[in-house]
Amino acid sequence: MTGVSRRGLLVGGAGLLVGAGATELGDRLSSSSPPAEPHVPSPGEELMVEHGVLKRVLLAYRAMSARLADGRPLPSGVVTDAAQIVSSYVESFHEGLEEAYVFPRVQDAEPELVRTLLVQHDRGRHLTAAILTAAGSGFGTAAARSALRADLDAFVRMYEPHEAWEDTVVYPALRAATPQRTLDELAERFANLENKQFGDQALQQILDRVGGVEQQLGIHDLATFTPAAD
Amino acid sequence: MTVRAAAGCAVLALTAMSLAGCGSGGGSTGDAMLPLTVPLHVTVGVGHVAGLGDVLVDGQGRVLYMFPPDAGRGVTCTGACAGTWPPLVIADAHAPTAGAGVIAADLSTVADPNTGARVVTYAGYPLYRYAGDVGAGTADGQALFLNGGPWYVVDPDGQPVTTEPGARS
Repeated sequence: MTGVSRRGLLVGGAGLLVGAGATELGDRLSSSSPPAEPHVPSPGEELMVEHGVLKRVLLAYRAMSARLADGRPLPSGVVTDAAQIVSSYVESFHEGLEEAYVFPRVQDAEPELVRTLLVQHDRGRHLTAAILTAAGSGFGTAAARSALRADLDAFVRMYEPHEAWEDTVVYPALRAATPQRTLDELAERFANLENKQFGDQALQQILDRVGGVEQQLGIHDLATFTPAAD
Repeated sequence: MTVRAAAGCAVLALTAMSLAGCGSGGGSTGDAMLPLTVPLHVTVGVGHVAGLGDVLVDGQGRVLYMFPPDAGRGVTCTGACAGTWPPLVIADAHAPTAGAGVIAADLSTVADPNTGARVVTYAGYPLYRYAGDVGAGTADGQALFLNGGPWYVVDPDGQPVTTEPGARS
């Protein structure tokens, strides 16, 4: 697959962004035809693309949990691969951006929500640590499989509403509280930090890793999620 | 104390905002993107955490951590890492204060690549808070492997406490 940078995807991939459920994007896209200049992503867009990566891992976690519930085997290494994506990209990067640059700017407007999100970041990191430990031990016993399934389910249950609240409350609050020039600088900062931490093809590489997990679990084809017609 | 710092102390928020601490005075950082104030005065004390014993805390009782990859290299937690693990910063040309139980000679500072200010060190270790500790006296970041290494609380002798969370109860 041809390497594509995050900025390249964001600037050129309007369809991807709309698919991420960004309401603010609708305004920008509808008011920008014909665009005089390439669309510059907002920090909220940058973060919502990262949420898209997390959503796909959550789908993988669901598939793993279902296999554990049915007593079906899990492909070798798939749990570790998925949890390491969460640890390195979501917990060691995305959440750090939120904690450094986003939450302080919305703290006054949403103090209780920010507190809850911080607690959930912490709980998620501990769940990921437990999932990685379980994967490393091979989860060969019924008790270990049950414990792993419980951790996967808890992670999904917490992060689905977590990212939904961030997308619909926190990121709009960031936009409302922050001058446009600062938002532009934040978006640039996020992209630069990602390049520094993961390289300039980071997003594509992460998507490839997620795709590998999906392939192993048989959930790589988006069409398989479409209900059959009556 | 700045208004922003005062608000951070009132709600015990533990994001970069509360890096300012609750001492008097302070100024902005060298990074306009980081919404925090660097305090002129910082106190390091000792608190007790169940299962871990006596550990270093900041002036608000929040537990402080060290990061092994920093050894001999100064502050290596930068960018997104510093959001999750805010360094204990102090304004340039100011010295941290030792609280009861803390060895004053072990306190020093080192350059902070995030803010252009200084980071408080103890026995040579740069000190950090954990964003997931949303109240005083908790050590939820203990032994967490994140941002490329494990994070440990520090005892008053300047030694990292490597007890795993599961071994605490």
